[in-house]
Amino acid sequence: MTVGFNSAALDTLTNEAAIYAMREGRTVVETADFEAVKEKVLLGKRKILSFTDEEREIQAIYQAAKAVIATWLDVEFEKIGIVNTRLLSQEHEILSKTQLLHALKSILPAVSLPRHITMSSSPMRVWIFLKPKN
Amino acid sequence: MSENFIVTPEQEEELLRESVSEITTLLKTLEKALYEISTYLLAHENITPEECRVILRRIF
Repeated sequence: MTVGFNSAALDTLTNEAAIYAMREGRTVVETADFEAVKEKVLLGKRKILSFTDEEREIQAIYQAAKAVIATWLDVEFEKIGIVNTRLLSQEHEILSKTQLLHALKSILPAVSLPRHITMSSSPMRVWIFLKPKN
Repeated sequence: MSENFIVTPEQEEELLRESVSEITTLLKTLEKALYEISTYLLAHENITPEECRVILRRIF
């Protein structure tokens, strides 16, 4: 799990896992906590920190749309996070048209999200993800 | 009977247009799930297929 991590990255990983466990209301850090924050430490930390709250909410909606569609259409994925999407690669060499279309649809929400989405705190626009109308 | 392996740009566009339309309708139907999962993502950073299914089952 931590191949290539230097001591600073290991330190950050441990801290993030502990914070994650605390957020979940637990006093013991488990392997799953390390798994949950690994991407954040590996590649997403700086990116997450540079998001404004509004950008983070937009990104969450965008990724949530992918998760909803993938689950609804039975497209397999390992996990979907705010900064990354981990779809499982298909082991079969031949895929049906339906399977291919479902995989395509799971990455389409970027052009399909409704124009206005209201979160609990603030109304916001997701227009930056929408294809401009001709 | 059968379909061509090679599609024309028009067929490609039509396929994408149909898919976008279908996904748009689906997202409107699943708006509550979309809201719940985005709230979950904001709190936990990641979501697994099992957790998605739990949320969808709770709603439907």
